[in-house]
Amino acid sequence: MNYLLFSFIFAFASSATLGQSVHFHCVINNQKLNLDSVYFFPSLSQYVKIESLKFYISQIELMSGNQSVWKEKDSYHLVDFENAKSTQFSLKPDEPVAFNALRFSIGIDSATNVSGALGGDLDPTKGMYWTWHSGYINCKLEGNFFQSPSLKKEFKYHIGGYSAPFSTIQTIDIKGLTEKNINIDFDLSAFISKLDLKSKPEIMSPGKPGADLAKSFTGIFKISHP
Amino acid sequence: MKNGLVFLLISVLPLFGWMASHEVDFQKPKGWPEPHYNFRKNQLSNEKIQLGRALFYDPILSRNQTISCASCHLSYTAFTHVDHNLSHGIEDRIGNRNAPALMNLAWGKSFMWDGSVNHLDMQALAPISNPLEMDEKIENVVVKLKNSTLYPTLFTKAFGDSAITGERTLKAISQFLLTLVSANSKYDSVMRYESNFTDQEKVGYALFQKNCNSCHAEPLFTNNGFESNGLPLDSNLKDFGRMNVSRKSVDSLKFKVPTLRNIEFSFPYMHDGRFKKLKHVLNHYTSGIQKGPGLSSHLQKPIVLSPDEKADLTAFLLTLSDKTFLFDQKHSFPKQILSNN
Ligand code: HEC
Ligand code: HEC
Repeated sequence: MNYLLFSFIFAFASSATLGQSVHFHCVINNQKLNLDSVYFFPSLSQYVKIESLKFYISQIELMSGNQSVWKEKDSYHLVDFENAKSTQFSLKPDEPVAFNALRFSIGIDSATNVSGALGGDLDPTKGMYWTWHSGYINCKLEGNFFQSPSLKKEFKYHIGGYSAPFSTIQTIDIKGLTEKNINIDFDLSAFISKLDLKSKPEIMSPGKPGADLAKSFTGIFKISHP
Repeated sequence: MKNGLVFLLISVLPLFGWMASHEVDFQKPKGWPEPHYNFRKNQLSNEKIQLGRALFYDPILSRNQTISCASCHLSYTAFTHVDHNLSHGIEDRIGNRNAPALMNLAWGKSFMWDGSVNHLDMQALAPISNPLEMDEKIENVVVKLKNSTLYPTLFTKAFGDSAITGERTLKAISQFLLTLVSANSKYDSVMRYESNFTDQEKVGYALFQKNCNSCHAEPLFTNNGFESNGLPLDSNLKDFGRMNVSRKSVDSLKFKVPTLRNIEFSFPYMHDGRFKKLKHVLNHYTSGIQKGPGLSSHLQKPIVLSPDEKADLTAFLLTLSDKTFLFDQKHSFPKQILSNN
């Protein structure tokens, strides 16, 4: 019995050391994002305050060149910058794999979108599900923008939708990884530059505006260089 | 070794607790197609069905504990909101559609008049969060259920432990909805060779098959498709139906073909409840159809029915009433569970 218990613990420990961690960071104006802080964007001549940024990362694969060497099972992670724990997780291949790239999707695939009620990070209580028009919100960005505090306006971008022609899931490739622990930046400044804050401060449903914006995700994720 | 035994016992005990819940199989009526719902992902059990039934009848799902699902879906009227053309929700706020009858949902491929809900499990989220209906958040529903005296026990009976999640709540509601099977009307007993249509019903059945069956297809009396049956747009409600979901102009004014089972009780009719009586519905099909670009190909040729034929067709439609279903105690308010709370 003792032996059994021992080998049990041992198995756990060794698989943990095999894992590699993935850590998402959000960068705005070359700094780490602080929610509810105010940032100035000269190009927009606007101040911007972020209240919430969340997105789903799914379908994670470790790659060697263009070759997939490992796929995560049940690969769904809700990254929420309000909850530091959620921005970091580990990948646990059964045996060590050599890789130099990471592939993942931002968003939830269409099969999962039509699978009914799901648990964990996909539980509809996570606030990432459209109730009146079934489907996951792949990415949620909410906050304020203003030239002066008295002119404060809200923005809300809820990007999602899984059916053609307005599907929003995007595949992201992060190449040239050299370290075992993977650090990825979400370049929020670059993303904000794609938004039309003044004339379209809200996207709240699937459709062309959300699908167009989703395409820009491919240029937003980058290797972190601390 | 003794320790080992205790360890073994402790580790399998929860399993026994779970096994104690009584799994049941979904009964597909003879001759019906396979249900669309995937029961492998949500195995029915008596305890889960009872939990779902309690949730269906409990106003705890609404913001101010006044509205339950049953407020708009009454069992004695095939789970529709009788006498209301547009449904009434929290603080008497008026919705923009007529509550459809709830039955045979296991065969549904999408829900709501425009198909905006893609899976039965996700259905409850819509009324819970609609500000005109229950005006609540599922996050908060879960908190209220956790804090109640009743639900931790019911969830334990159903799922083997007291964890209350959105997933479990929704799956339990689905389980109750899935049991709402209506398959015991006079029509069904005739199909099973247990009784016979009257002469008038027989004529009506033939008229039905000729004019209506293409969309209201037997035995479910819906083909689950989206069609325009030629109703003119209501200029106040401006409800374009399926187009709101698909964003395609070809879907303008298309609505999900509703079942005609228990149609005697599910008035008023159509997505906005514009017709009070079956008579008005039949008049629509013979003389009210508006020929727009989206009008279904099945309705391009005018439907001609004499007054006698309308009476015959109506007689047939009344054979779709299923009293066993409407008065089934298993579907009614769960007194034993809810009345003490
Ligand atoms: C305020 C009234 C109201 C309440 C409360 C309400 N519903 Fe409904 N229900 C409706 C209306 C109206 C529709 C049709 C809406 C539409 O098509 O847009 C509907 C549609 C449905 C449908 C789809 C049926 C089909 O065939 O497409 C189901 C299932 C359903 N409701 C179940 C529920 C459940 C479960 C609850 C409780 C969580 C609930 N309803 C609470 C009014 C209500
Ligand atoms: C082209 C397909 C089609 C055909 C053919 C058709 N219907 Fe319908 N029917 C519909 C659709 C779609 C609706 C819902 C329309 C809406 O609410 O906008 C409907 C609604 C109804 C309703 C109201 C149901 C409810 O719960 O509100 C009745 C009753 C009805 N039809 C009876 C008939 C009869 C009787 C015939 C034959 C004379 C017929 N239909 C032929 C598509 C069709």
